[in-house]
Amino acid sequence: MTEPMLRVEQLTKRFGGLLAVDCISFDVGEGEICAVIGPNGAGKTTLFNIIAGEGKPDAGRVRLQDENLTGFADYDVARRGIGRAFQLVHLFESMSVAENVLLGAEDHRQLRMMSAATHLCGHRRRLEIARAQADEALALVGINHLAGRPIGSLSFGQQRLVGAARALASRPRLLLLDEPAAGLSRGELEVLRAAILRVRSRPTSILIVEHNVEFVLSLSDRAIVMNFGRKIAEGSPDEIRHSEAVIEAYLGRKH
Amino acid sequence: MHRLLSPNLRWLRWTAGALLLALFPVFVREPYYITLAVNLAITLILTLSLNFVVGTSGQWSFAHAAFFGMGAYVPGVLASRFGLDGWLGLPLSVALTSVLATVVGLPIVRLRGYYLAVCTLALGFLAEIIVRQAVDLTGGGYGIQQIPPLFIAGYRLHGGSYYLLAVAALLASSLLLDNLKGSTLGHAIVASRDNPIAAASCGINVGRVKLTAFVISAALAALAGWVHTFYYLALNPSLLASDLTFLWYFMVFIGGLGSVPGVVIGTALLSVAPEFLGMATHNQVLAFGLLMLGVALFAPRGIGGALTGLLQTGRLLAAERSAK
Amino acid sequence: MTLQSILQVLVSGLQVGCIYALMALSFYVIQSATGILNFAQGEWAMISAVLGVVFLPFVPYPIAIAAAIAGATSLAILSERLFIRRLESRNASLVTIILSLLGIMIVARYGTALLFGQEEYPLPGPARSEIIEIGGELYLLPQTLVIYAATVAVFAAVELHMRRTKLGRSLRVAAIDPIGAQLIGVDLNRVRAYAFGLGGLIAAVAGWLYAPLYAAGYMIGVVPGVKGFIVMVIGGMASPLGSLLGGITLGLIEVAAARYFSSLYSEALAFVVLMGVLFVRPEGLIAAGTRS
Repeated sequence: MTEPMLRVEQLTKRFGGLLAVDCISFDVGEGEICAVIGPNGAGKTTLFNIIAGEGKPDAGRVRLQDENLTGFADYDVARRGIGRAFQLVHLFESMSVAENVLLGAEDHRQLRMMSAATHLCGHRRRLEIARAQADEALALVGINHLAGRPIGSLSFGQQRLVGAARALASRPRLLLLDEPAAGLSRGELEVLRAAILRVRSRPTSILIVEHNVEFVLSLSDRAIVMNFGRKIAEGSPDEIRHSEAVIEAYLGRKH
Repeated sequence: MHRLLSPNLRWLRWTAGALLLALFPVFVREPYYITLAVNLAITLILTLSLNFVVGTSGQWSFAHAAFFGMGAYVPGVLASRFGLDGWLGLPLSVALTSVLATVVGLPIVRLRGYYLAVCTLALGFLAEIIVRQAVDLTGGGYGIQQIPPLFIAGYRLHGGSYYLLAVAALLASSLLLDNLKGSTLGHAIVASRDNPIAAASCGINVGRVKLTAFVISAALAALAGWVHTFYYLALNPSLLASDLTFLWYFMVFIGGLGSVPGVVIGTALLSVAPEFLGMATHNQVLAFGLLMLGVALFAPRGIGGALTGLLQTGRLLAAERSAK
Repeated sequence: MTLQSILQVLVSGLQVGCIYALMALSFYVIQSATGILNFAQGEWAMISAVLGVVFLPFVPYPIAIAAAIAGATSLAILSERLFIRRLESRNASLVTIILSLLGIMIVARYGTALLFGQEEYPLPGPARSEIIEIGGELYLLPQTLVIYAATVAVFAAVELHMRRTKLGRSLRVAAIDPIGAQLIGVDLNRVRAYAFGLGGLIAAVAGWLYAPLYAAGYMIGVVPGVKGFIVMVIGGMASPLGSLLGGITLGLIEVAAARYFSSLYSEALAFVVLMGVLFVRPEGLIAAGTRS
């Protein structure tokens, strides 16, 4: 069996007395779409943040294929192949769409001050490579036609796609999508679905946190369900839909 | 985009600009105007670097005069007290100032808003106090006079020939900043300003990038200081006065934060006008303050903003006309 | 380190510290209610002293004090009305606001230079000028006692005011939660004007305490202004008490350092301490309502 792309082992995070993430373990395989769902306050966002390097876990590990990424800083995690698109989008307001995506494609591991100051030492070549990668990402998400537009002129759904393209521009092995469907119209959801499927086929593994359960279950290969920081179910979308534990968590039948 | 601004003609523009500037002393010989021009070149390096750190990288640096002063004092003291050649003083001055900026900047770049401003303000005041007190080294309140000038192949640089050196320094600084703008590092600097969270997700080490921008601006201020020292061949602690930093800020803001042409025009106007109007220094500062407030209230994008506005209106009019 | 010298250091240090504390309080009142760090506070202190010098030859002492303080306070309120209010209503960027605050400071300082000249004049304090002797060991100027008393009075008054009166409480509420305050009907514009006025008033009072020790002239606001906001930042912005403690501490450290080590570098201490504090605990010094 091949190594999974992402392996989360017994990840735990406390905030004061609150156990936001309680010993969560799961895998995401190569080229797989995995959803993380659960009611509000279940700890999905915290889990996501830790995987992305925003905050260190109190216990547990995060591995990307053979690399241990536990406790790495957010920029480090990004450099090693995890891309992230945010729920609040977080685009660079002063730049155009193409410039935003270019930033995702550029290699920021070294400062390269000499090259920046003189435009010599391979500057042009690197910029061309980055531009090509950025164009690729724009095409993959299907927004080439928006390339020159300033951010302010885009609809919310379009902004979301730009965020995804920027995350993809660095050719990450794993893409984290943070509530991608929130606030999208029906038409935009279809565009998003098509884009996600194209991305998966690259292949890129995708981990999606999402409230719109129907949307995400219709896309994913597997899903895990969280409640109160714990994993209460894991399996195929069908299994999840019919799981007693899940229905209870969402509808609170016991109470 | 205007044809003139196309990337291919960039070399042409810079060379033409350099030649134009270089011709100035051929036509203008009076020392008064040469001094004015050298001062303008020095001030431009300062305001452009300030525009870079505040506008492009979104950080405050009220220690700009301190870095300028250090860049002026280090080679001046070394030349005057220890006989070090002024040319060698340049890399030393820039390097030492960069080190200071790095040391000070390391914890500072974590601060936000007012706190960064206050801390660099404190550094600015501190620098002036230290220079005034370290009398043995710096000559204290009296400063240092009769610093040995720069020579090229036996020829003493002063007046018109020094002007060429000042212009060379200005062009080098501007080119550096302009190149930076179109580079990966430059993009990272802007991204770190716009949205540090998003920048981190692109693999950018925001703290390191911000520190780099801060140090670059300090290094350029030091360069300006070096140019100042070997023109005036004298040093005094008022070079580090915080009021100077405020003046440069006013020039940048009135010129239009983030707009290079605006800052250039603003600096030129504000440097030269008081001279021609014969204003006493105190009244100059007062006038700048009032102008600053006026611009803040009525035209916060400054001269640069007004220019951009004019350009856009012009384009709209042209588009309408061609549509008819 | 004789007893006499220690006592003298205590007296001087407390004296200087009180002035710093008052200036810090004037910054605090504005910063906590509006999130604005008004760099011009030192200049209101200066203007109140300069106005004193202008009025004293013509009117009795108490009227001169009142008029001078009223004048400086009015200017502070005017600056808010003319500039800050307009900028806030246009959602001006932080850069614009900070530079405008600097602009106001510069205009106040150099405007005074233009109108008043660059000379410095003595300003007599409200008390007599004979030196008081205590126990053969300690020599005090009456002005020093005035400073202590005034500081205690001002701090107590402000503390009570912010807790008991409606206007004072609106300052606190706006500090804690500007949006919530608006919801319960607090007019942020009025609060801001009031905060500027109160801050200006405190600074103006501090000016009358400071100038008799040194002089009155267009540059005297620089040091109290800078030290004032340094103390506010160091002392923490949770309450006025921080300004009081911070001011006294800095004053004592400065005078002690000047007396026992080197008077040359004692000036630099405040800045070194500030930078040290900011380096070590920058997060801990951020108050609710700070714009950053």
